[in-house]
Order: sequence, then structure tokens, then C-alpha cells
Amino acid sequence: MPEKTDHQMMLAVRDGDLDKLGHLFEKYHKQVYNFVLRQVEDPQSCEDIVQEVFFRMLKYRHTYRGDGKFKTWMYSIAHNAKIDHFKKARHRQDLTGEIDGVASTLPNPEESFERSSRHTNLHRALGRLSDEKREVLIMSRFQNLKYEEIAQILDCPVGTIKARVFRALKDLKTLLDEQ
Amino acid sequence: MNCQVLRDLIPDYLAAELSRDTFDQFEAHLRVCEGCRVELEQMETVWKTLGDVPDEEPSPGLRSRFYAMLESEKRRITRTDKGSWLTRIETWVASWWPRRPVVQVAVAIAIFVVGLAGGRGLRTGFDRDGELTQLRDEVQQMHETVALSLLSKEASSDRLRGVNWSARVTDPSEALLASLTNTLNSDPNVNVRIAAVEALALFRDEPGVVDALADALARETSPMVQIGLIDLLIVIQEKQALEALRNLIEMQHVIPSVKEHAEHRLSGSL
Repeated sequence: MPEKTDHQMMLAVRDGDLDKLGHLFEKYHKQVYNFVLRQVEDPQSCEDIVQEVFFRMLKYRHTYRGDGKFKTWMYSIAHNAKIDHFKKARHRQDLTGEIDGVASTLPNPEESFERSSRHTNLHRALGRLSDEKREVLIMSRFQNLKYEEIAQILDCPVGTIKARVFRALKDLKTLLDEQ
Repeated sequence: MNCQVLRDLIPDYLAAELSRDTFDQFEAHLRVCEGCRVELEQMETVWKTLGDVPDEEPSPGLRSRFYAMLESEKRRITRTDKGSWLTRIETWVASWWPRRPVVQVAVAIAIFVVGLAGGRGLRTGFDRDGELTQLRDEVQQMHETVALSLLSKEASSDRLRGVNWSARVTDPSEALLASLTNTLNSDPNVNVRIAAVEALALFRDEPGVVDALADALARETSPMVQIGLIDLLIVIQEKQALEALRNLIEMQHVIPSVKEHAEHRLSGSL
């Protein structure tokens, strides 16, 4: 019997066969983890975000549609979970800052890249790109998503995505040359 | 093909998304334009360098957390029949609900108009039941909004009130559960954290709550909150809850009286 596609698996999850989400987890959790890690760079937070992504897939399974592509849907959830994580962290930071009156200690992606034990010039340069540019570059180069798919995930025109990739590569080249 | 068009196509070229025809034109231009060749070489070098970055492995804990969440959701579904018919309705609605916002608005207006016309035609007693249900939903929504707002306040008395408001919610949203978990893990006030334990006890059947309580026990330093968590985890009796208690007994930073309490409760639960 031919193996089920990701799309068929997710339809089965939607219709109540929750164990199929285990197959999708085994296939994709490492990809999602690395997608987040290249933007957040704190392994514990990354794992929390990956857990949140699969939790949302379970919770919102009934919104999965027969005409969609599973990977696009999954990365849309990952993109939103990552944004929510940053919002929550910043909110907590604001609150703590107000209460304690101390300077912020919350890492931003750039600082996290700086602190990483895997410091390489490339990591440092990636960390200095804007969030928007870094994300499209990661989606395209590391997650092997097509520009059309990235455009769907980020809900913007495909031309914008390509222009962003071009500018990201240019900036990265300049940053690498400076080091 | 001119230089500007070629440069616009560099991302497509790198990702191998050019059509055969465009690729041929691209190559033809490169043969005659040194400026574009240099530009492409630079971009290609960066692109290839990115390809050398290896993937990293998450910790094994991620897998166990995922399967605990999955099991918890499966148990929740089998417990509530209500959940299954609700899910079926949601699936049915999701299967025909349009994706484009313009069409969504049109459908919403149409439903509203039909509802309005139907409502005018059927001004009977059972109409009031619908209103009551709606009112109940709105009150629930209001409880949740108030709880979330208070939980983010500076004063600990406000946050305590926020936790108490959250206990009035019957079907908590993901945001409320996250906020309560966050309070339990990081609120500086012990009384607020104890109240968060009690509120989460009400929602222990929701996915991820037992794990959050077990994680909190490992992190918590206040004996009062530790005891509250121990008593709750004993009631829950799930595998990861009991495991968290056994781990606590081994921890060096936990004071002897708390360890004794955990041991006593564990022996009583067997």
C-alpha cells in the first residue's frame, strides 16, 4: 500500500485519527526546530515554540482544509507561534522593567546569535539581518520552501519575497566582508 | 534580457526556480555581461555558504512532551461526547467556509440578513433561550478578558484578582492557560503563584496543563507553592505527575519537610 502523503495524514488528524499527528511530528519536528533555532537561537525557547506549533496543529486541526498544502499550513503556524513568543517575551520584559526599574535583560535575536556557543561569522552576520530578511532567507535556503509558498505563509506578493531574498543576500555579503 | 531583469531573477536562479526558456536567456546574458557575472558569483558564494550550516538536534524531552500532549488530548476527546460533535460541526463549517476575506464578509452579511428576517418572522419564546446562551457566552468572554488584563498588571493584588477571575471561566482559551502557566512559573509573589496552582487545578484536563504543573514543581523554590503543587499532582495521579513528585524527592534544593510531605502523599496514593 502506498505511503500516505502529509496532506492525507493531516486530513486523518482533522477527522479524529490523532495518532497520525505523531507521524507528522516525527517527520517535521526537527525541521521546525531548526527553522525556529536560526531565528531565536535559545534552544529551550525553541523547544517551547515547537511544542506550541504542534499543540496548535492539534487544537486547530478542524481548520485544516482539503485544498491546502500541509507544509505551508505548518510553517504559517510556526511563523505565528514565533511572533507570539517574541510578543509575550517583550510584554514580560516591559512589565519586569517597570516593576524592577532595571535595564532589560531579555535577549533579542541579534544578541542571542552573539552569545551562541556556535559563533561563526555566518551566524553573527545572519543575526544582524533584519527579522524580515532573515526569515525569508531561512525559509528559502534552509527549509527549501518555494517563493510562492513563502509568499502564502507570510501573506505578501511573491515579488516582495524575491526582492527580500536578494537584499538579504546582498546585506549578508556586506556583513561577511566586514568581518 | 537586460541587467536589471537578470538581477531580479537571481533569487529564482539560486533556488532553481527558473523555467527552461528564462534559464537559457539568463545564461546568454551572463556570457556577454561581466558585471552581472560578478554580481551572480558573489550571491552564489553566500548562497552556498548558507548551505554548509548543519541542522541541530532538539533534546529528547521535546518528543516526550509532544506525546504527553497528544495522549492528554486523546483522553480529553474520549471523555467528552460534546467535544466530538462540536468538532464534527467545526469540520463541516471549515469544509465550505470561503477563504477570501471579501467572500467571507459577503457570506457573513448573507447569514446576518437571513437571521434578521428569520428572527422577525419567529418572535417566539424560544428566541429568549438563544439570547440567554449568547449572553452566557459573552459573560464568559468578559471573565476571560478581565482575567487576562489583570494578570498583566503591576500590583500583585491585581494579579491575584486576575487569577480569581480566570477561575470563573469554564472553557479557557489557549492564551488564558498560557498566561496562568506563566504566572505560576514566574510571578514574584508567592500568594499569586499559589492561587495560580488552584486555578490550573480547575483546568487540569486541558492539554499541556499537567505537564506545566510538573515542570513548575521542578522549578519552584517556595515550600508553600511546592506543597500546593504536590497535593494537586497527587490528585491528578497521571504518570508524569507522579514522576515529577519522585524527581522532587531527589532534588538537593528542596527542604526536608517538603520531601517528607511528598513521600507521605506518594505512599498514601499507592
